[in-house]
Amino acid sequence: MRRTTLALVATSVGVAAVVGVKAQTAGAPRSALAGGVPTGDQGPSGPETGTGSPAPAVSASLPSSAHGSFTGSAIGTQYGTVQVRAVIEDGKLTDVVVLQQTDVGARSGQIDSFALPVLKSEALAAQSADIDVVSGASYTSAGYAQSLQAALDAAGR
Amino acid sequence: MTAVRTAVEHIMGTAISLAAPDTVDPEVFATAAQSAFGYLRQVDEVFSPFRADSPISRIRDGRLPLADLDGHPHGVEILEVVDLCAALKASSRGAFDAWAVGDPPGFDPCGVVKGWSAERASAMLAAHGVDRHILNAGGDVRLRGGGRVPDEMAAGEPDPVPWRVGLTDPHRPGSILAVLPVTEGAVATSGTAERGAHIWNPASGRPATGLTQVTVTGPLLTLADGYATAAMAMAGGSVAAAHAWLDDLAARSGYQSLTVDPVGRTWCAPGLTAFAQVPVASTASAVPAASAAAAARAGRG
Repeated sequence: MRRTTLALVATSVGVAAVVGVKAQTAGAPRSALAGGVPTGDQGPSGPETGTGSPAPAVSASLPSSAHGSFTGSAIGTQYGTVQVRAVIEDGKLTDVVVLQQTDVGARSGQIDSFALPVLKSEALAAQSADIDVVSGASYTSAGYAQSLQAALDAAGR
Repeated sequence: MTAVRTAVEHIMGTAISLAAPDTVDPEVFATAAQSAFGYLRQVDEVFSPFRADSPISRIRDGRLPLADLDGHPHGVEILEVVDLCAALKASSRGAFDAWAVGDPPGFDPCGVVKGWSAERASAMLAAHGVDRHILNAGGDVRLRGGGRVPDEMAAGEPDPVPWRVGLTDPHRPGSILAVLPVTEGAVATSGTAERGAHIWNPASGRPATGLTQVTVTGPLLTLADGYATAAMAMAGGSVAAAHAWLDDLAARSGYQSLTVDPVGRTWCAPGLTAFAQVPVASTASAVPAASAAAAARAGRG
């Protein structure tokens, strides 16, 4: 199973992003941007919202002035625990910093180091495609939290 | 894009997202949203096969014969869905069969209820004054442009700006396969990416797995959703037959479609060629790499 999932968790007060990968242990924080460097907290942390249970009704509107970094909760995936931080500048997702991911197992680690930057650039590309809505296979209520649509809803685009 | 108001509620086991321009009065928006979400919650109670005592569960196990629906509080709506299922069964030459879902086979209209009810919820939003909006029912989308009909428009009045609908790439989660500009209409997608193989192929008595994803776009979400589901079911028997059917559908009804197969190959009806060949979410140089990655995944999987 090599599925890698980009997860964007929307809440009414912030945006937290979670990247699900083959993860076994925590690694050092690093930017998912190739060559990125670890960053410290620069803004408010998002609430610890898990993706395992359906979120309550959300009515979100993130002003275009939204700014800061939002730390997602540590999410247990079938491959282990992952956690990332989303950096929002002027209402746009500009970076995804990986706080926890696997660095164990040569094969798994190799996939991670390849998959994370690729996923990241794709997520940003989707945003730059300037879309209003996403049509796709019906997500579950829990799966919605990991969907691109959830990110659009949270950003109020 | 212009700023929008958004609201999300979890209904029917998925998330229903609503977006409208932020020029809409907040109270108007809230009232309209409440009405639409309330309606969808009610539909869920009536049509859920996961609720043991829902009318649909009782129809499925024989406790509620269709003949008894006259006078039933939701009889009119249920019969409308039954008629829709019958029309889709005929249209798809039996590939979509709401009466042969599961093992043992039974009546389950799940494949059409979400699109059908979202179409009605969207009409409610317009009736409440939110005439320009997007209603996304777990990936099945109804869009309204809010423009006046051409006869009423003043000379030189600009057409409403189309909404931009991203189609998910089932092989690259979080990325977009194509973008369809839609002012008024529906875009429905059925696929295996989120819930696995869950669309029944009555011919084999097994879940349909011939295609990974089918997107259908046209005026009404009720039909677009039904056609997408039917094509997924049909592809369980023969992908070529599903494509021939979608091709014919586009020619006779105008409903256009785009499919993705398990190794990432795409196919589209003639009306979408211009959109499907533009890799919107990727730079030109990234396309071969992405395709290679998809092929590698398929090969290793």
